[in-house]
Amino acid sequence: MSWMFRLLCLWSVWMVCGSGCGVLFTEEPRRETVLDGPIDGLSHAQLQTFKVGDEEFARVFTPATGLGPIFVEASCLACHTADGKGHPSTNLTRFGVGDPTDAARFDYLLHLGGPQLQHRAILGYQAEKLPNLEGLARSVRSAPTVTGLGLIEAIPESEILRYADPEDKDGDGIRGRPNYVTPPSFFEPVIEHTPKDGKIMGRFGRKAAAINLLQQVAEAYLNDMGITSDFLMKDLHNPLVGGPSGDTAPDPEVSAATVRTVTFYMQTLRPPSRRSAEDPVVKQGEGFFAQVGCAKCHVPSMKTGKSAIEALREKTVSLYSDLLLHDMGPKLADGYPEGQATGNMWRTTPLWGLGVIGNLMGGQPFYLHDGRAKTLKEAIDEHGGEAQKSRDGFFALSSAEQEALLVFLRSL
Amino acid sequence: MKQCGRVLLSVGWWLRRWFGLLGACVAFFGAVEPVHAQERAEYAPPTSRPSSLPASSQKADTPNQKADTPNQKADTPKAPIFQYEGNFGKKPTAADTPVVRGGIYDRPYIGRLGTSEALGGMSIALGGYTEFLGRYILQEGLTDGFSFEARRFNLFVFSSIGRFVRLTAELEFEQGTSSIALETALVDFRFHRAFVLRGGILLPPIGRFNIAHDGPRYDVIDRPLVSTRVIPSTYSDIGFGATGSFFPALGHKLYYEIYAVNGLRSGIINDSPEGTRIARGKSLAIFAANENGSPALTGRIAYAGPSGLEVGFSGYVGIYNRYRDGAEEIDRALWLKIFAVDAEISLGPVTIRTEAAVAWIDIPDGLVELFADTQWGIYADVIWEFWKGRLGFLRESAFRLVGRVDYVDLHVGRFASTGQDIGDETLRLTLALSFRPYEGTSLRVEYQHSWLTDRLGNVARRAGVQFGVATYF
Ligand code: HEC
Ligand code: HEC
Repeated sequence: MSWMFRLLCLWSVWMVCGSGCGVLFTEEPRRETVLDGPIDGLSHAQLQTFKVGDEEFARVFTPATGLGPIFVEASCLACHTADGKGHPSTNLTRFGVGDPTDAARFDYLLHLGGPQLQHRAILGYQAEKLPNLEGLARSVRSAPTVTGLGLIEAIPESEILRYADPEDKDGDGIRGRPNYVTPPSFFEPVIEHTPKDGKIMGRFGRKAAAINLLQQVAEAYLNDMGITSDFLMKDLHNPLVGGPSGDTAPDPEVSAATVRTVTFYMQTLRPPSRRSAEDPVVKQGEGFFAQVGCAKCHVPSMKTGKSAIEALREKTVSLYSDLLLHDMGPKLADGYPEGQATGNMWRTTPLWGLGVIGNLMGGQPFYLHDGRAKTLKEAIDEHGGEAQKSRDGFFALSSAEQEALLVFLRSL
Repeated sequence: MKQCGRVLLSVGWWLRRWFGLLGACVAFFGAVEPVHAQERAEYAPPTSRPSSLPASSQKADTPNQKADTPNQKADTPKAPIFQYEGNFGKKPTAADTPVVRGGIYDRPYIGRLGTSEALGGMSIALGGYTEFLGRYILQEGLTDGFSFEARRFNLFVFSSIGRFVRLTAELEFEQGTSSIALETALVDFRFHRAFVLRGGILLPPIGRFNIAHDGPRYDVIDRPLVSTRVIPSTYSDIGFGATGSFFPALGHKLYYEIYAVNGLRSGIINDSPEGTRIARGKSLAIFAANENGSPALTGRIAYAGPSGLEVGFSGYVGIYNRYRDGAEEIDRALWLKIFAVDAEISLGPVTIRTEAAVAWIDIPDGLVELFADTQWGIYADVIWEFWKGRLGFLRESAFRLVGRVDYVDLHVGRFASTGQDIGDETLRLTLALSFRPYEGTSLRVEYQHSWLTDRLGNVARRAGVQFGVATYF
């Protein structure tokens, strides 16, 4: 009898556990509240590569595995938190002096550690410091969200150029320019490019200075973490120390295969899923978004073309960006040119994932190229230059209308 | 030559006398006896099984009256001294040599040592413990499924080479044979109970857990976070120093340990991808040489009193980087300092055990904010022995329910850029049920739930069940 009773007790405990399983044994976060995960339609072999890439992206380097000797952060993931944005504490700084409107007349101060500051160093080595120069331009940048980038990479140049209007022919005050940059020595095209004066259209980075993901990834390994690869073999060092040191890991510190695997991971990381897209308030907000001209730069969607990865082929990309450069006015200007992007130009930031990133940053999101804005409203308020009219349009809306627009942004 | 030896001998004799004198002084406060008397008592064969009452139901930690009297004739056979007590319900005596409860001399195998009058002869004992478990843990709803782990298999050797010298060693096999380490291999020179010179591979006494961490002593499977993260248990190092105990009054004991060791190394930050991790400062190379030529100091003083009360204060200071190469200074010296407090008390069937530690780490300019310069943590166990008695042929089995709270903040500080608190914290709750068929054997099942906060303040939950066996042998 007493055994029966005990069994009954056990059974009831089990039942309680069953119903409260999520509480007791944790729950998987819903897909639309996070950014990680592969794009739909990958084959098993592709999923395997994705997984390895995921691990490499999260891998934290140490001096023994090649970190430094000078660096900014020790892993991709440290800056691109949960595949999302960077926290201001991980911001990187580029610097130089000269004419902010012309990269050819701008000194990137290579002899003083430019163009990018590596303000950290492994134990026993000396980190870089910003030089004390008059008129020093600094470009402080936080890491952008890295989701859906394979889709962005697969958008044909012609599709992007449809939105370019460098002469402002339609007179709406919004121009939109592509950035043409010199490809790196290891450049490998993944789509068809139409070069202009030997330069190719860039689309990645805050100023669209990187042409494709392979370039972005290989350069990130070297400049952000001090990790050499088959693509970029020469390790960083602090020019003020005069020579490399400390870092005894044999070069390349990661292989070409690793860089390609991480590139593949970047290409196949799924785009963010929307939340409550059909909500009437969201729909209303979407209307205001178009009405005040946000959508002129934050173009709701584009189409991909050909791609070696089937899952990326001929897809609609709801990125909310034109991938073009805009003069954003003096408040956002950094005085630092990159390619044809001048000191006050920025590439329109894709807005997808906007409603999720807060979840990934301990509840406090940071917006804009240096993470200066803590709320969406602040981010909009900072818009100037070509976006001034649109910004003013937003603040002219009633507060309920503004709120609807923000609700729409958070649904992305 | 012969002359020389004779001189040394007499010096030694005088030294002994001197220590005897010191002993008499201490006897003023309580009970002390010279080593030889104490030792005779220790090696007397056990006549009866030592009593196994829970610590709480015993009288206070009173030194055995008989053994109290200096120069006592220890002819009368009595219970072995190297008995494990505290949680296992044995009481220490005045001749209490086990300096730390649950420590190297407080283990059951030594109690089986059967040499009585073989003083001066060689006696050796072999023992150990083993620990294995099964677990099913989920993090954010995801799990790798069910898995078993052969966590540890440790062998102890104890040898009394003579009344003056003894040796203890512990060989640890972790996860099968994937890691084999000589955790302890030390030699004690016992001048007096209050002064034992110790050298070899030893456990630096940072907190109580590092020196008394045997799996079967605890009813929770995982080790406390503070004791493995802030204090890098199990941390053993090569060094030299002294230990001893005093009995200022009946039932009260004061004891100390202090050593100079090679010290933790730069792996604290160099091999620590996740931020400052003191445990990464451990290295096998520690046992070969000191990387920077500056030994670290570590010590603990503790008080043990009635009701199983024990309070300890301990610390560690050392330089962890290679700041000089020969005579050349090649870097700034970077210090690691750890301070720990531990306590235990038994109230009726309930025992409370806790340990807290804080660590300060010098971080070089180029790594500030990426690596923590301050860490701290605490854990508390509440152990309720709710049933004890005969269970079939098991004459002294017991059931215990244990609740544990663990908390560590591995990065105390704020982001300079935003003023936000830097996370890197873990809070863990554990509820365990332990069945002890014998004192030194624990069969346990537990549920644990952790909240892991990353640097930015994102919280991930981790929970699951584990069951395991840990037993001395
Ligand atoms: C120090 C922080 C930091 C680290 C480490 C870092 N990134 Fe970035 N990442 C950035 C910043 C800042 C940008 C914007 C760069 C720019 O404006 O040129 C960026 C841009 C990118 C982009 C382009 C995104 C876009 O929308 O245009 C990709 C892809 C990327 N990083 C991948 C990586 C990978 C892969 C790694 C690791 C190998 C990595 N990053 C390491 C900070 C970092
Ligand atoms: C002229 C083109 C343009 C217009 C019009 C424009 N934006 Fe932007 N937007 C940008 C650019 C360029 C950035 C990146 C600026 C930076 O990072 O400094 C940006 C950034 C943002 C961001 C921050 C995204 C992030 O993740 O950091 C938000 C939010 C945003 N825009 C919303 C809006 C809204 C809402 C409107 C309409 C009121 C609008 N934008 C109109 C070009 C534009």
